[in-house]
Amino acid sequence: MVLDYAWLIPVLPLVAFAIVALFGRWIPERGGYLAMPAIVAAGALALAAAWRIWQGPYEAFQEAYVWTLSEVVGHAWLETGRYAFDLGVYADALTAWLLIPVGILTAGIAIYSIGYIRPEKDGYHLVDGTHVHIDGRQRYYAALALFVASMFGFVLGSDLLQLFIFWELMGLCSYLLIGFWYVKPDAAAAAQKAFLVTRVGDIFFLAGLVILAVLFGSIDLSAILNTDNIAAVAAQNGNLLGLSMLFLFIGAVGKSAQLPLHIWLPDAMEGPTTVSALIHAAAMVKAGVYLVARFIPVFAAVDWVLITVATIGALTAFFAATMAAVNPDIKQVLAFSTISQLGYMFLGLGAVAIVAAGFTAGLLHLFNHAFFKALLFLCAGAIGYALHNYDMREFGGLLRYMPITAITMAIATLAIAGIPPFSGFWSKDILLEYVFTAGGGNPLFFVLWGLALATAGLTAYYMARLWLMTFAGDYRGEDEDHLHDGTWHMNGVLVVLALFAIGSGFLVFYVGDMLYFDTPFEKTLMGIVGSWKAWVGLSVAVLGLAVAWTRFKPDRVEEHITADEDFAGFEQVLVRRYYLTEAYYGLVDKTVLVSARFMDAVDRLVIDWAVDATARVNDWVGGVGSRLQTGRVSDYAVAILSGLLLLIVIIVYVLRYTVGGGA
Amino acid sequence: MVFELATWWYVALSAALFAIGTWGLMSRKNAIMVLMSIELMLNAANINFVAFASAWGHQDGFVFALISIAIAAAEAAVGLAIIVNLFRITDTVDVTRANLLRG
Repeated sequence: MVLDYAWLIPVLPLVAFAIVALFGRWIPERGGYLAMPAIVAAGALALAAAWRIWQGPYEAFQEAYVWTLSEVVGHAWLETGRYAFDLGVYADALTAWLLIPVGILTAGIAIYSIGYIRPEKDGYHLVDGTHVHIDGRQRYYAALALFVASMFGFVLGSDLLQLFIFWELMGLCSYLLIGFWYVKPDAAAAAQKAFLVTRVGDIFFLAGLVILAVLFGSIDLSAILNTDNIAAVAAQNGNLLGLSMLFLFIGAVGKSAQLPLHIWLPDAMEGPTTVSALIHAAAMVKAGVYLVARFIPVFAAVDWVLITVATIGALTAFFAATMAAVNPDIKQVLAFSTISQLGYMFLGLGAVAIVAAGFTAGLLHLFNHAFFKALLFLCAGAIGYALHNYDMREFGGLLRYMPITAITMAIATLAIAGIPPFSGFWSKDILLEYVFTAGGGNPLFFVLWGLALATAGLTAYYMARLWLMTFAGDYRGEDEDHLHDGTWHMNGVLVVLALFAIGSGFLVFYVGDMLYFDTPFEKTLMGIVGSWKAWVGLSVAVLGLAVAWTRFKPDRVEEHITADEDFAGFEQVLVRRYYLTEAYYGLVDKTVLVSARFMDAVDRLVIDWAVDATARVNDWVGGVGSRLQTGRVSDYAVAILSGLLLLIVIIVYVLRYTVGGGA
Repeated sequence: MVFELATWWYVALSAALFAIGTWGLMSRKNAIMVLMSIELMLNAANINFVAFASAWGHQDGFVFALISIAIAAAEAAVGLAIIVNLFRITDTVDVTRANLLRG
């Protein structure tokens, strides 16, 4: 049975990582031709495993396929008193649901990378003009393989420790890959920012896991996800359980870049575009959503945490969309749109507080978003490959030069904007539908629905703006000769992903059978056509597209291009991202710097003083002692003889009073 | 008749020689004289060896004295070599001039 080999899914890329890291320089493409097949093989195995899971009987949370190291080798990885730390595989319908996009996208990104990551013969110029030559391919493929291995390891993790290990490994890999062009100060700073900001969430995540382990007395997922156990713990320690879930959610907030820890994601665009696609579509940010989805039966036991999840999600969706609407950098617009779409997913998961099917809606959106967002990023990568620039103000008219990129990106744009029949429409519509239904149980959800609806309009607007500024009209930059589509590796992946962006939305009619949780998820075509909310959502999206067309159609676009220094008023606030980063820096200045100055004073006035005093005492003793050294042999002879005499006297006296019995 | 002195006469001689040697070591500036003083002290020790060996009727002390004389010869050779080198460097055999180790 294929599931018996599911443990190979993370292990294959992990082995590839080790080999590439050590011996990559002797492998074609510096390890690319080893890492890529390993990732593709793991992806294929993941698809096979997902298919097997859907054959049954692993649909519900209670019925998971569990495979652990201790069953095979007889003892757990680590055994300490109350807890046994085991490694293994926990696979149910939710796991399978994640394995499919992660498997397909990581494979696609690995193939695309072969064309995209070049040896960088030209190298880079530092700010001061220094020329640096880097061939980072070995580093890139090693980190890519480790990233994929940790995402699979996280999705398949069978206990809390394993989840934590792979969660942290993913943070490490994102640091390594965002800072891939580390000679650029921006890239190095972005890597540090990503690592430090997600670390805030990670600390809460660890705290949540520890509380969970103590509450349930076990770290096995099968024990924690058991409904009887959850009911017992919720009845006994309801508040503590709520706290642990809140901490888990804060961990997800950091990883999935939700308010207020979203500030790292736009900066993370400094890495190669393939890395952005990986972080935004397949791994990393999806890990946060998966974390909440994985523990949803526990979340469902504490309503107030789920309502927090929904509120944060809706607020994030809206505010990120406003920031995307004015940003001139194509990759940053996409980053804000990722934050916004992740907000939708959390909103859907939060709706589980009232309507259980919100879970399925959120995960369907995760699935669709994975494909169209990967497509958007890889298209942006193809543009960057041709132009070496990501500023949309200098694009325009690329449709003529890069037709494949333009058409696939148009499909992705319509998908994320929510225009039927592309995938985004189905999941967004059903998500809004269930959030609205949840409003019947808690009026707060009506407000959140309104926010989400506004976000849908904004999304259509900024995506249409992006496409029009990039591909419509005439080219606004210089040097048109090198404008062309990418290599066949890149085009092939774009076309395949475009097919998914068109088709994956129709899963809405089957997802109820695939993702079973509490209540079956029924949705028919007639149900969608007959619902006024679907028409409202669609009109808002079309309105957004129309507004974007009036402002950015080819003959008007010049009026709406603003240079960096000309942003003013509210636009300025949005471009500066509500000054949140500045606020964080200010806060750090106020608190951390003050305490650092205090520590510095203690260091200089107390510790350094003591060290200096020791040195000065030694110096003085040495000065005095050195005067004894006359250099004259006769003086040394006197010293030796008087010492000898003293010794003799002492020995004689000691002997007299001990051996001799005393005088 | 065999005239035998009490052992303490020998010890007294040895002590006198040692004292003279010590005094010479400490007060003389000429390196040759210092070396001779050291020889005196060594011979004081040899007399002690022989005297006590004779008093106890053991042979060990005589053997020690012989070895000590051999070492003294070697030591004299080394000492004279040092003095020759000292003379080459400083044009004198005055040990108070050789004070490079002064702190």
